[in-house]
Amino acid sequence: MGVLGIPDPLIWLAYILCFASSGLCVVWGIIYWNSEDENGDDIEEEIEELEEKPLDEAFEEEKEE
Amino acid sequence: MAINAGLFGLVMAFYLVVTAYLGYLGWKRTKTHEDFMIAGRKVHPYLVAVSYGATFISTSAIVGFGGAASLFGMGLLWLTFMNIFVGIFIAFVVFGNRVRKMGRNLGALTFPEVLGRRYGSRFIQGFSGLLVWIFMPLYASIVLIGAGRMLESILQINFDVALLFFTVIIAAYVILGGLKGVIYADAFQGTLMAVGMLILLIGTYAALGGVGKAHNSLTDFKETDTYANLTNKGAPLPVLGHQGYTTFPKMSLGNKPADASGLNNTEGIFWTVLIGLIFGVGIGVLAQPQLVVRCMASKSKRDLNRAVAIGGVFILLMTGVAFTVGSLSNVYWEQEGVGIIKSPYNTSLSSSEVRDMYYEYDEDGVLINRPSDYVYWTDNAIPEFVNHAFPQWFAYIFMLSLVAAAMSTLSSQFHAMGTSFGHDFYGSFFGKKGKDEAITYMTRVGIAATVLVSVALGYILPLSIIARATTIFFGLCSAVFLSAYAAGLFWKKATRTGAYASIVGGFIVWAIWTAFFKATEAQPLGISEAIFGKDVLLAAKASLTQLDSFFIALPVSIVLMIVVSYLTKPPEDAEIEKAFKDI
Repeated sequence: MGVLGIPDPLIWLAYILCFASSGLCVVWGIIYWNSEDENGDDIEEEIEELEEKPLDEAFEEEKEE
Repeated sequence: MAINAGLFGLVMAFYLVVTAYLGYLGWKRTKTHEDFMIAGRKVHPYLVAVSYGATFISTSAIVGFGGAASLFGMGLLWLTFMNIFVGIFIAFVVFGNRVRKMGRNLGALTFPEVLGRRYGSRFIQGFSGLLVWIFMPLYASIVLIGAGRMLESILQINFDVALLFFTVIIAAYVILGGLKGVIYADAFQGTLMAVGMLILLIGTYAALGGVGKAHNSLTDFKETDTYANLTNKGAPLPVLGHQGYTTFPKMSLGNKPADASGLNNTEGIFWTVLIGLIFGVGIGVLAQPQLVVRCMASKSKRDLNRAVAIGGVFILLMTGVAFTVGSLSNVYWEQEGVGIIKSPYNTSLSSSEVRDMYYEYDEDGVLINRPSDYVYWTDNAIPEFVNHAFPQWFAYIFMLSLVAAAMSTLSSQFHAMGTSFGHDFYGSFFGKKGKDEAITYMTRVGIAATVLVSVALGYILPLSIIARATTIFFGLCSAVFLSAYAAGLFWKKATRTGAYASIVGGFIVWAIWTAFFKATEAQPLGISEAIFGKDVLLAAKASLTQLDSFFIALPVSIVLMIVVSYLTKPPEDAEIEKAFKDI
């Protein structure tokens, strides 16, 4: 009878889609876990931030960290 | 099983100490205006995901909607699917990275500011901030009142004391710790919620003999005498289109009276489940200011991707578990021979009035007596089930996770309301450029003011309106912000005038439909009654009166966005280049 004891396809479909969409999120996260941003903007942004600051200040901040 | 108030008080005190410490940590690490507003845009993916989920899921999502599942059945799992697919996957993968980058490109710190800067309009930022500041307290007040009532019944303390105690603690860590304090505390609270819900799911299936057997029993529940006697709004469930707990409610169109009582099948469960709950709350999540800001706080696209994995599982554990357990609780009561209190055949009774027929309260409103061999259905379905079916140690964990769910949602609401007032409304209309300290100060004042307004609203407004608050706020966000937000992120030809028309037009249509046509809101609001002498302007039983306002307002705001954008001068290339840099 039905899937997982649920007779109505509209319900078991929802039940399965909940797990499937959750699985999609996990798979997506794992595939792109270490992916670089295609524009590499993160590195650029950090460089920009550093460029905007006077060198001494940036150096002081680095030291603090 | 009675909760030992003293012991629970101790557990609660420990929980509050940890929360206070995380708030302190947030305060210590908040050095700039950007830190306060958006946590310095450098939040760890685990914190982004769990904080997003914990903010998204309030106590009402677990207890209220879980309770609704004890009435409507497993059809509500479509809402869980929407919560995960739209609320996490689409929100993070499709919208999240764009809004993060655009926010950074434009130097925007809040959701209204992203809209305002994308369209180069202080009015859009100020107006959006004002709407959030005016309407979000309604949503916050339901969470606050719910939490106060819960503490009252668990700890057996006075409701006003419980409310004050709860509000002061949250306000303190939001006002001092800013978004960093909020996110740190959220992540702790979210972890607690996840543990609680996981145990709840495993325990429930174990108690009912496994997944397949539990579902089979739930299907067979339809054949029992208990099911035959269950009612909603005083009518037997099948009259309202209910077809059992593992079958989707029957669709009803038209305006045929269903039985001699005059109840109409268009008041049926199908419309409530499908439209109000599934689409209203499912889609509304995309344009929620307090959720969008979490994507903006993320450090990189990579971190957002990581957050997707954690968020997807988190939401499954929240609403997925609540809706499944809510439905299955009926099987448990049947097997244990515990009766389910049903409402008498009277359509005008509210669920709290039915409860009051069976539960006794003293003059201070403290529960003094309740039936021992009956449980009250819907509102209390999940807490009652936990108290009956689980050992006491778990009841403590579960109650604590409910407190955590309320706190994590409220803290983010307070932060979003405060920033809407201080940064968006005050900053747009009265602030001076470069005066960040004054704006942070006004934001803190805004948080304090909205906290007071939320508490006051909880006391002043009728419960019937407060109970609709989540759906009202989610609907408002979809109707007003969604098309301007989506067009702003994806459509370079979207113009400032198009956004004006879409936001203001969407709001006007939403407000008119809510005040004059949507039965569940127009009746308790009473505006239509005061002006026209009728509680709704359409015949009360027409299907249209069941339609959520955003179903009417969202298409209008989309059309206005597109048509007006085509008719007006496109934005300058330089503006667009700046907003869409690296996107």
